[in-house]
This record gives sequence, structure tokens and C-alpha cells, in this order.
Amino acid sequence: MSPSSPPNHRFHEQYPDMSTGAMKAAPLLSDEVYDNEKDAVFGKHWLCIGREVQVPNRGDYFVKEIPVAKASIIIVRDRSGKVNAFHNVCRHRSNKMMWEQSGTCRAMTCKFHGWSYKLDGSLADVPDEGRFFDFNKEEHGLIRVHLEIWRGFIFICLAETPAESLTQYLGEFGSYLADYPFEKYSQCFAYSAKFKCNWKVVTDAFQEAYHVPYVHGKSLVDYHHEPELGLFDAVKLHPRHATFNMPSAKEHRASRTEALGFQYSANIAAAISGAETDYGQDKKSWGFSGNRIFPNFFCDVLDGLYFTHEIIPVSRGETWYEHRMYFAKPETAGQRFGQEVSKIMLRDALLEDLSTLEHTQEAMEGGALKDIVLQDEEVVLRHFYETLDATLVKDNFQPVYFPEK
Amino acid sequence: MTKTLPTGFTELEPFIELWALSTESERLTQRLASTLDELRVYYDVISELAPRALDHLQSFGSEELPENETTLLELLFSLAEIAPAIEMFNSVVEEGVYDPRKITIVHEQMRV
Repeated sequence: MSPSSPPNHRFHEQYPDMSTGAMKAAPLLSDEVYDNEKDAVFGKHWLCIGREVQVPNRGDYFVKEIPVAKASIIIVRDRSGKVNAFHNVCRHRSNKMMWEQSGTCRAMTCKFHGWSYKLDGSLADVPDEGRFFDFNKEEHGLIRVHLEIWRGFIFICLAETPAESLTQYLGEFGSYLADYPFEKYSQCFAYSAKFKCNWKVVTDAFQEAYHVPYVHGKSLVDYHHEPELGLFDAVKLHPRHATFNMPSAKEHRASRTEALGFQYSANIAAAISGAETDYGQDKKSWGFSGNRIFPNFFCDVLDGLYFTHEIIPVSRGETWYEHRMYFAKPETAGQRFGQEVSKIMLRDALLEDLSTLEHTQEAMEGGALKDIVLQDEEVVLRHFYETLDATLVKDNFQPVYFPEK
Repeated sequence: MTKTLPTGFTELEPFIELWALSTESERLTQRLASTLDELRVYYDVISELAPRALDHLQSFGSEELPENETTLLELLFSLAEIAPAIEMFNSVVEEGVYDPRKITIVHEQMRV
């Protein structure tokens, strides 16, 4: 695969309007910037918070905590089959409605005074209703949150009125994965953690491949690249979202257990050793396609499995993170074994990605480093921060990451 | 109740107590509680038997496995858990990585 432009600034040639200068580090430490992003970014954009299959039947629900917005959201499938999102707040005196993380219910009932809501959020029963004043139950249903579904992924928007529909928000990116069979991969394994670092330290761990030979030096030891070709196979930048394809590692030699697992089930070894795949912009021999849906969600697709990263700020210096891997439902013991092998390898590789997060935050806190320098292959990161600046500007704040741009 | 294995896998009987564990968090805990040498002792036996064990288990197709066969599968899951330590890192847990004990294994805690 040879680039059509000089190999050391090929992405800048592809996207000449992007900055090349250093990025300011101070905003990553700023409480003010965190507060602004809380509203301008998390308060207004579509956020992916789960998959429709988490609520397969009428009455199924799960509760999603969104610490950055101090919001708790109930996702529930109602009697008509529709999936709804509501603030987890009783309309009476603001008690938290659903205390379990997930379950199945016939109605949503508040433990405090017995107010009971139907699955569609309408207020069905109020004990002592006659003692309220000018009270119409129809006006006191659960507070609805905008919810839309793309390819089975549930997105919510906390704005009173979203600026765009989800389809508009995803734009061209939304059709990019049109052929990918998400529905086929319903076996989900998930890991979560809370890190002592800013949310963007976490996003940045997953949007460049520069770290691969170092962070993954022991797990992907034969992921060899000619340095002059760079690490990404291809990059496509949308106004807010981004796709970055990793080339396959044809030289990868599966370890003994990896090879045994691969006999029974798709796994990372198969994917990164580059089966010819059908998805993505450059359809030949890429290992996997990383896809960032702004602001905080990654959906990385491979042949036979996909995984996601979900990143939610808790505070300026703390972040909640969840990683999910999706495989086809295993039918035989061999498939279960193959998936276990792949799952553990991915989990161990993930621990490598997470290894730098808190160290980076700690090193940044003193403010010694003023400028972050980014190379051409870190273009997806650069794009992320330019998008954040554009988002701030749209909300009448100053750009902070590339103030000179 | 003591777990048992199907006929033909007596070599694995000494390992049932430590490694026939039904959840990922138990298997991870056991990995972290072991020395590399202890992992190697198990790895050497199970990795040798694994192809035959899998062949045997595949004869059940997609049927639910009887208990003693599940025990065999759990021992294979433990192979999956310890294999990176032996095959990649030469260390129980790779040096310098994020502490796996701080990760919540969500799929064993709730319906995902």
C-alpha cells in the first residue's frame, strides 16, 4: 500500500486546511473548559449509550448514569414496542424512580409515594389524586429525553431540542458502515472502570496508532510496519466524526492458544492478520476500522467481531469508561472457547492501552508542558480537538486547543 | 459437591479445584494469585490436552453440556485466561499495565 503523497505528511496533504501547529495543554486542566464542554458538548450532541438488544422485550429497561450531566436516564421498551428515554426522576418531588441498573417491569412506580407511570412514561396512578390542586395527570408524565436508534445503537440527546436528527448528525459517516452486520454479533462482553484522568486523555488512547509498537509491544509484537508508510491504512475525516483503518498484520504469527481458538471462532488474530474484508472505505486487507462518533464513542469493526469504547466524564479529572466486545452468539463449546481466547487477549491488550492514562494526567497536572506536539499520523486526534474548538466557538466560547487557527 | 471430568481426562483431575472456575472474575483472580511457575505447571498439562478436549466437546454440538463436560470446558477457559501470561508476557500480568483488579467485569454483573 503506497501513499500517493509524500509519506511523512500524507494526511496533511489529504486535509490541507487542518492545523499543523502544537496544541495547547492548559485547556485539559481547566475547570472552565470542562464546564463549557459539559454544556456545549455533552449537553447538546447525540451520545451513544447502549444497544437496543439490551431491552429486547416490552417492559425491559436499563438505567444509564451520565455523571457529566448529573443525569440518570431510564431506557425502557413500552407496550407498543417503542424504546423510550426518560429522566429517572419522579414528577412529584424528584425522587429517583428506578434504583436497579436493569430489569423488567409492568409499570414504573416511585417508592416514595407510589406514583406509577406506564412504560410510555405517562402518569397512570397517583395515590390521593383528589388532594392535589388543579391537577391533570396528563401534564405530569416522566420527562422525556430525545432518543434515536442507528443500526441498533441507542443515542440520546440531552438538549431540549436537538439541533439535528441523529441521521443528520451522523451524516455521511452514518452510511459508511451500512454493510457491517452489527446484528449478527449479539454476544456481548463488557468491562468498565473509572479513571483519575480527564475524559479526553481516554479518547486520545484510542484514536492513533503511533503507540502500537510501544504500548502493545508485547501483545502485538509482530505488528510490523515500514515506518515510512505510517501506521494508518486510511483516514476519513467527517465534520465531527472520523474513520481510521489499521492495516492488517500479515506477519502475525498466532500463539499456540490463539491458533487453537481461531479454529473455532473469529477472533482478533484472524482480523489483524488480514482476511480480505468487505467493509470500509479501502476494502482490501485492513485489519480493523476505528470509528469515532463525536464526542465520546468509538465503534471499531473487524471481520467477525466489533468492539466499542464509551467515555463519560465524571469530573474534570475523573472519567467513567466502558469497553464492550461483540461476537456472534456461540453455539458450540469450541466457539465458546474461541471467544474466551479472543476476549482475554483483547482484555489484556486493553490493559496496555489503559496503562498510560493516569500517569499522563498526573504528569500534566503541574502544567509544566505548555504545548502538545502532534505528528501527521495523529491527525484523528488533531481533528478531535479542532472539532472541540469548533463546538466551543459555536456556543460563543473562545477556541482553546488551537487558539491561533 | 466435587466436580468431576469425563472419562479420558484424568490428568486434569488435580487441577479441578484451582482451575475449574465458572466465571471470568474467578479465573482472573486465580491467575493473579498464582506465580508464573504455578501457571506454567497448569499450562503445560492443559495446552497439551486442549485439542483433544475440544474435539471431544464438539461432539455435543450445540446441546447443553452435562456437568462433567462443563467442568472440562471451564478448565479450557482457564487456559484462555493464563495463555497470554505464558505465551506473550512471561509474567503473571504484564508489567506496567492498568491493574486488572480495578476493572469491573460487567457481563458477569448484569444483563448487558
